[in-house]
This record gives sequence, structure tokens and C-alpha cells, in this order.
Amino acid sequence: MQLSATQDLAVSLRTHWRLWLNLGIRDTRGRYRRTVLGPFWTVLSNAVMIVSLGLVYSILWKLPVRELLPYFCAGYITWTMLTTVVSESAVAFIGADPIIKSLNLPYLVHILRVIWRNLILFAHSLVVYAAVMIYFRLWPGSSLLLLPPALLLLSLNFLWISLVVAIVCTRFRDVIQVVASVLQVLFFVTPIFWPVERLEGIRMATFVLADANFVYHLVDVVRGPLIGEAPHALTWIYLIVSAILGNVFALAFFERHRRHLAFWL
Amino acid sequence: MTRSPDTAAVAISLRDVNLEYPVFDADRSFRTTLLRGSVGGLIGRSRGGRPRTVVRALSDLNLDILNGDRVGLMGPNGAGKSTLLRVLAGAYQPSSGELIVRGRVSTLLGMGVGIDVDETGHENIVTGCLLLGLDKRDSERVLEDVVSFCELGQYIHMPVRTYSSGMLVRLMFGIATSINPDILLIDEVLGVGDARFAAKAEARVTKLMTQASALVLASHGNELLRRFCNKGLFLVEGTLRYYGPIDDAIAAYDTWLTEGA
Repeated sequence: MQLSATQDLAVSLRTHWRLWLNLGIRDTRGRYRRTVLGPFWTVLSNAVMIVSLGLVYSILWKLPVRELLPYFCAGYITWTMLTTVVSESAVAFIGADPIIKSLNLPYLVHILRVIWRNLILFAHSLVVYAAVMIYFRLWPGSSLLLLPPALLLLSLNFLWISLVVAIVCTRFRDVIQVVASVLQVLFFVTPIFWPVERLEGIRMATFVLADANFVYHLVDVVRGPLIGEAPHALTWIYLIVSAILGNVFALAFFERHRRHLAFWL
Repeated sequence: MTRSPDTAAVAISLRDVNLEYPVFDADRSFRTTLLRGSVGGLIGRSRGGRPRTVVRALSDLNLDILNGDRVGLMGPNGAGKSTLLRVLAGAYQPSSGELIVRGRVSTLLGMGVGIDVDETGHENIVTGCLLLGLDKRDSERVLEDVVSFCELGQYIHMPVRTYSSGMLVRLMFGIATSINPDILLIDEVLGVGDARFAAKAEARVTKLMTQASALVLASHGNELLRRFCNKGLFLVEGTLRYYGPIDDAIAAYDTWLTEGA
């Protein structure tokens, strides 16, 4: 009656999809409850961050605002989704302690809940992006059609990252702190608020910080379609391969530790 | 009672079931002392591998629960009653041994799980149904049923944080008992609200218990156990001391209590 890792995934998706959809929406409602602006707090705080940093960095990099701001905006909202998915995954099982200990539900419900609620939040942030594009009278064109497959690919990668982070952090609570600091470093070393073109000519840095940088591809696959640049073939290949290998690894890892999880809480 | 029941009649079967779990925040001195707890299961090192503190919550359990059985689970605090119920519910997996459960299991262990006080009663019932794994059709039936059972009136559309504690208990109880299982697991029957509502709650649990084809009820109340159970399962430190007719089980427990004291 104990599920294997793949059964856990299958049951979470087939039988309990309404549960995590419901919990994700409920989490989103909870985040804004009794606030006047509601979901627009995300929009507002993102907007302030994006516009102020965008302006400062356009001066620092000596780039026209019209060029840097859409790039920064699209990259930043994608990054925000990534960083919240990872940091919330760290406590995905820990936060679901009472559910896990008293009900026989598949564990991946808790992972899918985290990914789903952050996709909702991302959709809110798109308002800032839309405002920036309208302000500068820009239109991403047909590359926007690549956004849905890009988000799907991103979510498939989230699935394995979240699962591994959640399992490790349930057992080793110190890792929660490690995850937070690693994310912060990744934000600065990845081309998000500085354009990747800045690396031109520095081959080693281009390789380490962009081409080989997993986080760069995760961000760029969504950022590209938003700013009218179809992501490179390298990005697609990188992310498809990582989604496959990552999920195979994560499910094997999950299979091995699934029976212990309830005791680690 | 037959010792070798035909398999169709068996609802739950345990063969050599052991359950050990590691304790991670135990400090070094605690870890090396090899304590035997005065309360609780056996605390010791895990066999093989790295030394670490483990609690042996269930030891070599062998038993069959047949369809129609009403099993009262008894024993002192820390005997492993709740752990056994969690194993039967599928929340904990045995460290070794075989567990077979035939039928849809539901527990009243999860009372209050998933309640969000900022959501309305109505929304909490919807989420509660999903947590219990009910499909859409069942959920609609349950929704009506719980709303009328809880007698919350217009409060059902108010955030749960505005509820009195009695109303909250009613809501949690209503959701937890909205199930329709083959095998029902209950950890203590709780006192629910005022006297009138308590009678209503009892009728609801009684109905659940009689409808389920097998029942496992953990309790310290002998009267309760006698009323609802035909068999008793007496655990001490995770080991089965007695499993048989309820009156004999209660007698065995009482003897153990007087001898122990």
C-alpha cells in the first residue's frame, strides 16, 4: 500500500490534482488576505524594484533604459519565481507535517502545490512586464508563442529541483539556510540584472556564467520569449536534458528515502 | 475466533511488523547512554550501520483483523497505539515485516488537519474533502451534510477565525467524520462541544463505526471500549501482550496495571 516514487507522482497528478490546485490558490489568497491592494502588492513591489534597479544599471552599464529595462524586468520576474520555488520547497514537507503524519496522501502533492502557487504569482508579475513593454511601445512578436512551452519546461525542471531540495532539507535542517545563501550568490553571478553581452570576449566567463550555467538557461528560456528573442538551441537542449536526467535522479532519490520522510519530520 | 482465517475475511494483516524510527536531535551523551525509557517504546541503537538513537515503537507484531471486527486498542502512554494507527493508515511504513490492508482506510486522526482559520468554513470543508481524497460528486454530498451537521448557519460563510472554539471543533469534527470508509481508525473519541452537540456527535461516530466493516479504536476508556469493541488489543512498549475478546483484554490490561503499580 506504500507507493513507489513513480506511483506517488502518478497519483498526485491523476487523483489528487484538484487538491494541490486548491491548496495553491488558497495559499495565494492567504498571501494577500485583508490587504487593500491584494495581488497588486506583488506587482507594486516588483515594479519599484525593477524600475529603480533598471534605471541605476542602465547608467552603470551605459545602456539605454529602453534596452535594459525590459531585459531586466523579464529576467527578474523569472528569477523571483525560481528563487521562491526553491526556497519554499525547502519547507514543503516540513510545513505539511500534520498532513503527512495523519493522512495517506502522495508526497508530491506538496511539491506540485509549491510550483503551482508560484506560477500563479508569476502570472501576477507579468503585469509589470506588460506595463514596461507598453511604456516603451515594444512588442515581443511571435517569440511570445514560445512562452507556454518555456514555462512547461521550466516547471518540469522545478519538479526535480523542488523534490530534491525538499527531501534534503527535511532531513538536514541546516540546508535550508545553505539554500538561501546559494540562491543569493546565484542571483549576482547569473546574467539577470546585467546583460549577457557584457561577457563578450571573456571566453572563460561566458562559459562559466552563461553557457554552462544552469540557472542562466532556466531564466533565459522564459526571458527570451518575453523580450522577443527566441532562446538559443543550447538553452532548449540543456533544459530538456536536465529535466529528463534531473527527474530520473530525483525519483530514484525519492524512492530511496520516501519511507523515511515521515520520521524525519 | 479462528486462528487461520480465510483470506477474504481479513481486513488487516500484520506479519512480524517492526517499526523503528531515528531520533536526530538527540545529543551525543543521550545517544551513547542507551537509555531504556520509563515511558515510551524501547530506545536503543539501531542494529548494524552507524550508531544512532532509535525508538523501537513496534516490535514483531503479528495479528489479523477480520471484517466485522471492532478492535479496541489499549495500553499505557507510549505503548505504540498512535504509531500503530499511523502504520495502519499508511502514514508510517514499517521498518520490516509485512502489512496487508484490504479496503479503503480512513482515520479520525487528522482532525483539524488543513484547517486555515482565515478561510471560511465553507472553503475549509471543500479543502477538507480534497484532503480526504473525495471525488467531486462525493464532495458535494459531503458539503451539504457537513454544513447541516455543524449547525453553523450563516457562519459557514465567515472566516473560521471568527468562530467560537465550540464552533471550530464542530467544523473540524464534521469534516473528519464526513468519510465513508471500509476500515475506520480512531485515536480517542474527543469531547465535542456542548451536551446537546456531544450527543449528536456521538450518534455520528457511532454510525460511522457501525458502517465500517472493520474498526480500530484507541482509547483509555474501558466503558467506551466495551460498548464499541468486540476484541481488545493490548500493547506495552510496542509489543503485543494480548489480543482477543474485549473483556479478557481489559482484564489483562487491568492486571498489568495493578502489577506494575
